[in-house]
Amino acid sequence: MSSSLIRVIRNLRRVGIKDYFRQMNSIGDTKYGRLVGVDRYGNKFFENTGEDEIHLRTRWVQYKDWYYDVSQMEPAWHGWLGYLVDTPPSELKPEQKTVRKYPTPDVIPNGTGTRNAYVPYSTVKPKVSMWSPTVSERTA
Amino acid sequence: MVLSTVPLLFRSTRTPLLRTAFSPTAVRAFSVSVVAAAEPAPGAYPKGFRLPRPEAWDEGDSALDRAGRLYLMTELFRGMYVVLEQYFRAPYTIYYPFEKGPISPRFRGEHALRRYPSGEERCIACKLCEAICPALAITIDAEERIDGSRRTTKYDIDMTKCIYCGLCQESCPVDAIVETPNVEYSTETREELLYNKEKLLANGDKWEQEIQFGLDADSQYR
Repeated sequence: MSSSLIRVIRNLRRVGIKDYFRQMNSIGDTKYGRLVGVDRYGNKFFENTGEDEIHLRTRWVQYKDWYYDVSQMEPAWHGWLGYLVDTPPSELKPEQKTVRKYPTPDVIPNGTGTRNAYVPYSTVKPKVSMWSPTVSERTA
Repeated sequence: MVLSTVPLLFRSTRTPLLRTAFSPTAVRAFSVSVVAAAEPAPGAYPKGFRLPRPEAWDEGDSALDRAGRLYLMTELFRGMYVVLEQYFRAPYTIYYPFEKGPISPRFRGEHALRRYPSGEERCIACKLCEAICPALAITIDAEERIDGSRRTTKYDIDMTKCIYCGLCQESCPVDAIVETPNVEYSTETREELLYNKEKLLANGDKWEQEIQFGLDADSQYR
């Protein structure tokens, strides 16, 4: 119910003036919900399953950065936001977590258009080499 | 009769009509269609979910009733009222970068090469994915490693050729190449979509938890 003035004022009192302006500048609506968790990048994830929100608007993210991008989300939280799982990644049991013996990377945002962009390169040695002509001595 | 449609427009007089505009109860009082809650009771159909059997030609209202409805255009006005009440409802759209539509566990998005928990890469360079790829987007080179195992030295996917059919992950005997639920990898240049092995392995490290979500949800159907 994003069109209700009552709702806007009620949620403004709940979330506070700072988050109100933040939400109106991003999501364009004042939404109030339970803070489910914060991912490794610092984005905050909220949920409100009451009658206040319509279907598929019950989970949302408040990005850490002003210049937000979906690729800044941690992948497991990305799945939670997309209703792939109902258990948020912060409440996973130890056997449900993918534990690795090597250090896994932190969140890598999509770096296209910046100096962080991916540059393709070949991972093998070239199979053909350039032909370098050698001229033999002329014999009369 | 014609008048039978009028109470439908101003139905539900249980609640006083003069209440704060746009409040959920006010919206409900003037509504002729159903407002569904985000999460209704599990297993229960909402009220009015099943439509009744349509009336045959010899059932229902008389010819005079039908003629009255036709010439007074009551159905037109009822339709316009349904449109009007949507104006006072919340929009049914979701705001994408902040909210997302549902992702299927079988979603086929950006590719990734997975590793075993020990860190050893799964791909054994059998080239089944390269053979089955209908778009010829995959290029593989293999060499014997120092420890004698067979691994790829080159695993390139041209993401501009890929048609996301998922045959590569179906054909893979060791579940090495998978398609993650990620679609947010748009690039500014074409070259950035020519993925090499390093990029695919980095994708696998990044997306492993979400790949596991999909595999867990889908495992009982495989």
